[in-house]
Amino acid sequence: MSSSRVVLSPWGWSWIAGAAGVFLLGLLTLNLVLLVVPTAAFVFVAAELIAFDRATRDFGAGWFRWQRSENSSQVPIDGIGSMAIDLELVVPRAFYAEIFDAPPDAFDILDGAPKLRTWWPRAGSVRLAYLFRPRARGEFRLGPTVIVAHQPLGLASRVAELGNRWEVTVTPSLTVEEAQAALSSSRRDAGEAFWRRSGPGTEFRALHEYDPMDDVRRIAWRRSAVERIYVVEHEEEVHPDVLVLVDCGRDMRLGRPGSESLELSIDGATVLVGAALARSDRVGLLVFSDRVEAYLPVEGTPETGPEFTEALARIHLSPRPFRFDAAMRAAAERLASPSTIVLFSNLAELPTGAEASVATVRDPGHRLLVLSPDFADLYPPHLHRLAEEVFGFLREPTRREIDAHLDRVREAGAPVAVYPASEVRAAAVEAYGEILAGGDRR
Amino acid sequence: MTDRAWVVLLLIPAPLYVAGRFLFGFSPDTAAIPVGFAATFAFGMATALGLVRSRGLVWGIEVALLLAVVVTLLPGAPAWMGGLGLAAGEMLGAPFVGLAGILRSRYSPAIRLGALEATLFLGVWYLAALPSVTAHRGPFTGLEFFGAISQVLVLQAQGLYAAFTGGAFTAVLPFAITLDPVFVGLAAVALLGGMSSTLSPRTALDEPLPWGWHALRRAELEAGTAVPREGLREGQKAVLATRSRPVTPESAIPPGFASLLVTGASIVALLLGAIYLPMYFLFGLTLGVAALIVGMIVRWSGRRGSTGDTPSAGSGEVRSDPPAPPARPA
Repeated sequence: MSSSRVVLSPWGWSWIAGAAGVFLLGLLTLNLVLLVVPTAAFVFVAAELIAFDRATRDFGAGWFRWQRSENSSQVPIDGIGSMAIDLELVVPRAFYAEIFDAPPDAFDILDGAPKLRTWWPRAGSVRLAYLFRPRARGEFRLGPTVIVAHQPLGLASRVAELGNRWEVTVTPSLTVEEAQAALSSSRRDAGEAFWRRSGPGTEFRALHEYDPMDDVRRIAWRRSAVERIYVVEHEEEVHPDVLVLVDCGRDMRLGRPGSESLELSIDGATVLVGAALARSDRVGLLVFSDRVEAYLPVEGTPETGPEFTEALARIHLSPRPFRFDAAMRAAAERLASPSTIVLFSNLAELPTGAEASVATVRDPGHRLLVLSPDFADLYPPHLHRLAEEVFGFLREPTRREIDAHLDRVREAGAPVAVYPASEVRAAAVEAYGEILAGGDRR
Repeated sequence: MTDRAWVVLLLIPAPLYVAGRFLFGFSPDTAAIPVGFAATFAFGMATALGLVRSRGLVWGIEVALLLAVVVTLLPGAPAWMGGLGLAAGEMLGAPFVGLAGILRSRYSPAIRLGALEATLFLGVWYLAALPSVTAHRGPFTGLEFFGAISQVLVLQAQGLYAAFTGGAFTAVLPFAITLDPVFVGLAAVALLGGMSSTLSPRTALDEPLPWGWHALRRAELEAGTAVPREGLREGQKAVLATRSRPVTPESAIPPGFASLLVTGASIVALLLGAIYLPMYFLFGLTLGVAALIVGMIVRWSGRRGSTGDTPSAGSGEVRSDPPAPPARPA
């Protein structure tokens, strides 16, 4: 079994440095007493280190048997997760141990402790248990558990690392399943009409007075009289195919921490996917920077909510820029039938020729709808007027650029909805209503 | 008695012996010398025993003691200061301030070892100057004390220069030739006290000694705020309730005891070598210490974080509760 090296601690180095310093003093005076003291320190430290080196010569992961239990694998942001590790010493040794289960920086420890310094007796066992609260969304790794065998006086140590990492997915505060459930119930309430439109369906919607343009076959003869003729209006059973396209390029970092453009987009996408699944519509997800980062095909069924939640949770900010033209091509390639593409992006970067890219999507019969956060709303106002003016001045070029990009996309024929940061969910619901209305609602 | 008091008891005899030999040689008319000594001694003992803990207060007293010395050097200094008597008294008490340095909790072993060595060095220095005191006829003043200890330094420097330029130790080296057997024994006791401040595995509850890593940082380990436990599963509550707590090691023999015995044996061998093989002693000692330093650096220095094992080594299993996460999307 391979073993780690014994490494001198700062405490051990301090012993050696101190002894070396006073040994020089001894050499200057040539006094026996003053030579004996540093020599004693050297011999003592060397004896301790040799003893520790021998006692822990095969120290490593093989010394331990471990078991993780009560692991949380999916935790909502600001929720509470738990972790426990049982460690058993399988060799007949005893040592001073420091045990550390490395949690990510984004996790606050609420109760218990991910580390422990203790005397570990022969064949003894140790249990670490703690509760944590993630402060950021994404995919995180807990562990590995690191065990440090300390020399009894802290002069040196050996390190062993166990291969027991554990992945935790931190989901947004609202999951697709929760959005789906909430919107399913809202369909039964006042918002029902919002989700439907008149059309060639079979379900009765309303009556309206006859118009020469109406189909005579739809006249409600029993409700009509000679002076006033009514026509039956039916519910159109629309089930659009929707591809949610999320920009995860580097410019999506714009915004205040925790409410960056990317986080707002993920929140909006969660609601939109939930709305689609609530209506049993087919929905897919494409996450794009300058390449496909994640993809779920447009075949989502109401039972696939957890898959979308996990995919949305795993989106991370890419260090690369968002390439609008490549994203449009990738989306078009993945759609077999005419669909609606909902792009969540702040469009901080838009290449020349983006208009042509919009055309490549629209030509096969797809629709493109852009949901973009209001730039002015991404940053909270400063309390100090001067600071507000300075930061406003610094941000002005970016704001102008984004506005210009949004105008270009609009002119290319794609509707653009700019939403305030605090109303992203409402904007997503409204956008879905627009998709159902076929674009005539705006 | 606390552990700290025991350590102090082992440390003070050596400097007390040296101071005692001088104090009896001074003129009884010069009251400033014992006053200066008493002030420094009291301050050193108070800090060593942990009675004076405030950093500001320690600095304040040290500055005050230094100012008293400066004032004695000024023309027109008060007569009760007895010329340089007060300064001489403080110089005699200075080793006790050094002892306090060994027991300050924030100091590293390097500083503690240096403080111990400085204390013993002052003892050796004063003892080297003692022949001047005993040879002096009549009462000894502060001015004469400073003259004697300065002369020792000058002679040592001259002797070292002569030894290096002449190639032989024919010159007089006051520090090297001063070897009071009582002081040697007391210095060994002080060394034991200094090392025991690092060795003892247990700390006094009222005034913990500064031993290394096992000064458990409970506040750090128990970090976290109280969380309402109503929302937790039974399993989560159970593991939290049964998690391990820090355990302070307890044993009849403290850690480092065996090494202390090895060190003791080595020092005896060293002294025997110094007595019976004086020609080769210094050369052999220097060579041995240099080899030891190089060996320790080569063998035990290295990057932290090198674990030797591959991360997948070891045996274990993962039991997730609730069920394991769904498969990742393609």
